[in-house]
Amino acid sequence: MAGEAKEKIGETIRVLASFSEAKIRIHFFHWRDQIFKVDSVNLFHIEKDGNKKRYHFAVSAKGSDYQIAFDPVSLEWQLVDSVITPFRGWNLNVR
Amino acid sequence: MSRIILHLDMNSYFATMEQQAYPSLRGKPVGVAGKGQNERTVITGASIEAKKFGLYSGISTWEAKRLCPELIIIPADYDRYIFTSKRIFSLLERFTPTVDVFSIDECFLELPNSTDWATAEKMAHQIKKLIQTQIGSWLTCSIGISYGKTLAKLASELQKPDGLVVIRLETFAKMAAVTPVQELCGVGHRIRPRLNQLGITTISELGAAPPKMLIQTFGNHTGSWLHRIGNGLDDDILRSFRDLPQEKSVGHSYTLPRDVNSLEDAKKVLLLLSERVGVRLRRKNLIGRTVSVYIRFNDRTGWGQRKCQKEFVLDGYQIYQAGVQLIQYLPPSRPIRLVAITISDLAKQTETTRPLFETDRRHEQLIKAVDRVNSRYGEFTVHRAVLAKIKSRIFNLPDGRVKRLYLPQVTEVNPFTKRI
Repeated sequence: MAGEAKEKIGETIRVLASFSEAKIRIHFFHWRDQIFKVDSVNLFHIEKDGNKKRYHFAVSAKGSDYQIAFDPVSLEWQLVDSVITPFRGWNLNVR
Repeated sequence: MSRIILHLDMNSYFATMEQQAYPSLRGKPVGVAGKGQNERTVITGASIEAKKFGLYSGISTWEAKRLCPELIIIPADYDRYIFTSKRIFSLLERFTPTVDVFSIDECFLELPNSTDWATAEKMAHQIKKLIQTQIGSWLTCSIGISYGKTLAKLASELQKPDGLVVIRLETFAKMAAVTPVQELCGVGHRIRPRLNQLGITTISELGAAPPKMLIQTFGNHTGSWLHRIGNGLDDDILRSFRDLPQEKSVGHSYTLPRDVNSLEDAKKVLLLLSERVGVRLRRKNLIGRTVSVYIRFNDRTGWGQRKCQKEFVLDGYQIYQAGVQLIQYLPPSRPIRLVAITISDLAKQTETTRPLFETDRRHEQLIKAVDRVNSRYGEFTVHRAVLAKIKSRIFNLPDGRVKRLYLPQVTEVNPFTKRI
């Protein structure tokens, strides 16, 4: 088995982001007592549910991938899901 | 100068989008499924790596896993796909105002009259680059350029992934001589065997076939089209997605997590689907008249019925009632796998006569008021009381919002469909 799978999380998180020129940039997020530095924003989309909008960011941090959502009404950030690359052990086949 | 049409097809769109969002999935066989892992569903999109194992759209997840045990199954995120698709189509409007959307991941562009073939090729390269810089570096597309829609689509199919093929009038004959007839969009599993029976296997053979024979076999419309396309005559008109005509039908279908024997269970699903159809209909200010129901059985055979109603309907419950009337003709005994309901014969609400009686008018106002509440606070915030029984099975998204109604509990399971 490859091991990777999308895991639903749905937890409120704290995010350090900057808002400028109608753009949102995510720098760090804090989840389960750990601080994650966002290495890259891979994709962005807006989800509409009725008149509500939520901004979704697919980001990579600490070697794994996460989807973070921002609700502009409640100003809440949530960690929606993640694809965590499993640790496959040390490669001992050293030549 | 002949017109130049460009066809763009995003490669393995759904799966590539997931690989774009989650880089750890890149280079691995990924299957995007309607629901998720361990649920009965089908693969709606396979990654380029997964396709090498023989996976295709529509294959069941268990069959996909059998072909590719390493397959990573990811639940589909249609909001993401639709949003990105719109972004791509908007980007393409930088090149021409006529972007004719063919599907979520395919479109045609009619290039400006002044464009020559060399410029069209340059544009194709620019489009590929633009998508990678503006949307995502992992996304690739195949582009076909020709002087007609069908031939441009054929060109894009000839080289995948990340292809660029040009079919000009001068090169058509050479390509047609070696290209199987089923490569043409519009020649599917029904037309192809009949063409083969007539001794037609390539596009050039199709062009050489007597038009009278094609018309006799396939009817006037399809027969003439086959003759024209076989001779490289491709003059379909493009229409920008900004001024598309209204939908011809609105429908929903659902594959049950397990087969059901009871008609009552199928009706519960039908009600949910009907409510959704009603919401979509009203959102688009439409009203419909013909209700169609389709049931697929566990042996993959299907049954369908349709009926034109006396009056136009826009309420989900009215659509459901029409569906229930049709479903009573359902042949008994076979377990049900999928339920679908569609409303067609659509008209604009403003173009039809409004209800005459006060009670009907008030009912319509009530539905619209509920729509406004649901539009503001989310789908199914206010719903019909009959759905309250299944509210406990409302599917909660991980972020705590209630987004979609999950399936009603089935009262019985067919023991014959249980897999060992």
